[in-house]
Amino acid sequence: MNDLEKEIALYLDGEMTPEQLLIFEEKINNDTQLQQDIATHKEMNSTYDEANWNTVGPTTKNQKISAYEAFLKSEEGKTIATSIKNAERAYFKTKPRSKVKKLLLYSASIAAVFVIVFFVISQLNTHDPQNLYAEYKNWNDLPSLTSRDSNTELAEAEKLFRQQKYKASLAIFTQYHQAVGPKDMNPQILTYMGVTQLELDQHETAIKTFETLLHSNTLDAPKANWYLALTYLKMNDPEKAKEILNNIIGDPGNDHYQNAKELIDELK
Amino acid sequence: MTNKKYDDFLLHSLITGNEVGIVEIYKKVYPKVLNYVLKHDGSEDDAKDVMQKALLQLSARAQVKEFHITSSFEGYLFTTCKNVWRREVKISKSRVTNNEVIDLVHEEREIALAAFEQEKWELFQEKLLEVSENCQKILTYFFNKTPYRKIAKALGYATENTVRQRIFKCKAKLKEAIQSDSRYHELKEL
Repeated sequence: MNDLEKEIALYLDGEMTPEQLLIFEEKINNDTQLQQDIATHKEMNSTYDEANWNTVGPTTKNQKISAYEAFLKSEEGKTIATSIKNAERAYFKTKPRSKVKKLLLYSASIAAVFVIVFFVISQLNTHDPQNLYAEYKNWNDLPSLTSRDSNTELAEAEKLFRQQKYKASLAIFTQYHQAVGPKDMNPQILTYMGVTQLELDQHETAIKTFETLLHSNTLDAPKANWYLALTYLKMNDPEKAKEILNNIIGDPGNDHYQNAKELIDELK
Repeated sequence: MTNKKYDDFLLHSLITGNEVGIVEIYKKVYPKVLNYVLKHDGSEDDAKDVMQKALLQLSARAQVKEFHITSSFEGYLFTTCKNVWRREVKISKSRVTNNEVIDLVHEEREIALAAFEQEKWELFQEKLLEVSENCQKILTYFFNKTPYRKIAKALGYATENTVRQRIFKCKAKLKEAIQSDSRYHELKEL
């Protein structure tokens, strides 16, 4: 097993401590093979993820791109583009005409089918755990660290978080969290850490962070259940999410009691 | 006409701009594209746009280099269309998240970039088939963000840690397979 592979994974997942990151970035600067390996790993991550796509920058230079572009801009390319447009027009023109009688006869039933299909699709979409996650996550509700703490580093981390620069903000939160002992643990920092990890798709790490919050002896501990439920939704595990939401519903004093009730109904 | 001959006729129509042949392509593939785009949060206009872009992309690739489709033309074009839609979604999402005014890239360049990315995607798919079947399975789960505990359960690994170790090894093998292919170096971004 190559330790370098592990380091690359930690680096790409944003899971390095600030110290590890400094050392590793120095290593990258001095090692062209490592630079290439990181580039290939990044491409692998986006190419093989079916919900993603590996895009290249708009100014990327490569012989093939230039050749394709030259063809598309040429007279020949323009002629093909026109033929495709003409064919498209012809296809849409002839398609309804040939079926006009059928369409008239069955228009009512077709309309009904469409209504049903769209209803089903919209129901499916709304009840999709990941859609529900997007609907229910509301990071604007997180307490502001600027007013509660004079620590400018934390204020900066919050600013980065609000700008969705999650990797950079996580580095600061993690550093801060590690610097204070478990006794002085700040539940709000833990919440930000967990949410940031969640946004970075570091699901397993986020669960650990929220579980630490849950088992902490702080007033914010019960809130961890809500974040854990959201994490499982994002991970497409509605059963586990429901299990946790039921814990919240059992505690009407929980800040997220109402949200949990609504969400569990949507998941039924 | 045999399937192979029919496929050749469709591809040839696209290369030469034969409108009768291109209408045939629409008849075969467009309903599937429409269905796919609608299912993935797009509209009918999006589906039309995807189809046009995929056809232009394919035409450009076939003009520049002799082109062989190992599967069926219909399947190949449909895969290209799906990827064009994935690309559109990713680009529009990044426009929203970055909150920046991004210069609109000229249409021809956009299609050229998409063709380049599609070529790279095809190479990566081919390379994935070169690692062991077990690696293919575990990596497919991993790249699609399946939690480690679920992978362990699905593939019968004792612990999450064993899954992690296996993923490291498989990723290293796959990376090696990709980097040792000369086509990967032709597809490098400068």
